[in-house]
Amino acid sequence: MSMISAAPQTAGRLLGEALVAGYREMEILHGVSIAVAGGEFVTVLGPNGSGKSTLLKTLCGLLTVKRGAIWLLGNDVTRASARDRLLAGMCYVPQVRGVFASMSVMENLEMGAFAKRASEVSDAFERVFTYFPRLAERRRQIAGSMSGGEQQMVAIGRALIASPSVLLLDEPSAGLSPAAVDDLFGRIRNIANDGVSIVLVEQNAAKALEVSDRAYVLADGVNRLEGPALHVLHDPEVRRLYLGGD
Amino acid sequence: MSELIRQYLVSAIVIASAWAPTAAGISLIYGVLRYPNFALGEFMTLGGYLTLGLSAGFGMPLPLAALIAVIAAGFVSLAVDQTAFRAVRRAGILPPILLSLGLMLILQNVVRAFWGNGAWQLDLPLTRPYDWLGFVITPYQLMCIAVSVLAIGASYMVLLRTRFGKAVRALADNPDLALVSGIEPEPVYAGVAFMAGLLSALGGVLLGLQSVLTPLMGWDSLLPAFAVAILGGLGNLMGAGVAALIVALAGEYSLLFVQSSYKSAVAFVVLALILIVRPAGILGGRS
Ligand SMILES: Nc1ncnc2c1ncn2[C@@H]1O[C@H](COP(=O)(O)OP(=O)(O)OP(=O)(O)O)[C@@H](O)[C@H]1O
Ligand SMILES: [Mg+2]
Repeated sequence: MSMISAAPQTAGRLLGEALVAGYREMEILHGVSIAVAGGEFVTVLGPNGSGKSTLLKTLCGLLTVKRGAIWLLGNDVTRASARDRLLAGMCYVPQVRGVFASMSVMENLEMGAFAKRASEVSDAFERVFTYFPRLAERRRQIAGSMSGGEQQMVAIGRALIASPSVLLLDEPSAGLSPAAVDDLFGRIRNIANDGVSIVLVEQNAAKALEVSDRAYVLADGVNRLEGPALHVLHDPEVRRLYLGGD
Repeated sequence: MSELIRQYLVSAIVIASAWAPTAAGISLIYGVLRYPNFALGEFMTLGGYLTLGLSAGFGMPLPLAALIAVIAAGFVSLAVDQTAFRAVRRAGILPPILLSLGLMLILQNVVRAFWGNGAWQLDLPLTRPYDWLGFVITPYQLMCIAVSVLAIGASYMVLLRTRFGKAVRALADNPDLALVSGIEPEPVYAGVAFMAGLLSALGGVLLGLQSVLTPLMGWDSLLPAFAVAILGGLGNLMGAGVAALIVALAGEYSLLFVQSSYKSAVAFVVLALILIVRPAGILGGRS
């Protein structure tokens, strides 16, 4: 599984090279690699427990990298804190508990900009409200009292406020109705079209692949497959594993 | 009888004014750092005795002595947090509990070493109590109530409005999300420890204004203060204020039925009863 990297490749916006990481003594990722270009929409698939969430937590700085490297816009952020990665342009939306439940929508968005100066993020609120107009109507509502779909908008809005160049999203469609999933994926596609690179972890494989550019499939903490989204969508093994066969 | 009932009401509000800030400190530490800090009772003692030392020993006016004392206690709490407690930050709940018990013993014995086991009184000029419709209350008691309400209100506003307060609430609500939002936790923890030490010490000063200082004053207040903090909903400062009143009222009015030696057990009974009905406390957790 060892991979000797040549001179760091800086062309990609986000690079994870042969990442080894996990929880305390337990190693979950055994050398996962991922590369995302500017404005690219990448989906990460894999069975439950394959390490998808662990990969995003490692990329955003919640978990420490044991081996391997992470490059963000040409900078080595392998050892950088979550805060420094945010300031360098990478924001993360967790799979569960993606909002500050006791805080209002506005406060949630403000928290997303906590590390930045107010002057740096003054336009960001308007931009978030154009992606998610519903949030503008609900500024004062306590996030914990919102519906699952609305909370997901708050969660993504909080991450977008810092104007990331890379947005990591962990199963934002969980618990949403099929129509709401289509709607949400459409909005995420819009965010990518505006130049933000997206790494989306998803269970809704077919729908996610339809809107994304490229995809990775993980299994047991290693890369299993990668390629253009439509190729992965039509891969027999992927169809058998995630798309209910045929 | 009705006079007793009036006087118990006054006593309850007055003692609640001393418990509430300490309970707010306990609540704050638990809400953010997730461990019960048993040393905060001793910060009451520390606050009371430092005030005594600065006023009697250095001749400072009492308000100035109290101000310096509570700020000093805040810094003691901050210093201990950033050294001992910080060292066990990721080790689960047990190490900080044990540390807080150790700190409790150390602080208690430091106070004994300097001031002995006897009781001390803050040097207060004599005043005439007010009598309003049979409610008898001294100016110092009134001052205790006002200071307590102000302290809780100010702490609440700090949490609600300031940048520091928002970071505190974010860390209490969702620590991982706070981290990925770019909040650096250690300065926030330090601030929380400072606030908790200061509030507890203030509770001790208020207690000292109402009665006497003894090395066990903090220890004796620990159970009621914890009952109040839990009842108010851990992490909920306003809840601590309301809960302090409830526990104090229950304690005072129990005197109508039981001997005063059972009074401190009453705090415990009220706590148990309310927890059975509403496990999250009366006003729910956090805020
Ligand atoms: N906090 C944790 N502590 C210890 N082990 C964990 C922790 N979180 C996840 N794991 C383990 O790591 C492995 C990978 O989990 P991960 O959450 O990355 O999977 P996933 O691909 O996101 O799965 P899912 O599709 O169910 O979200 C699992 O075996 C899981 O039990
Ligand atoms: Mg997951």
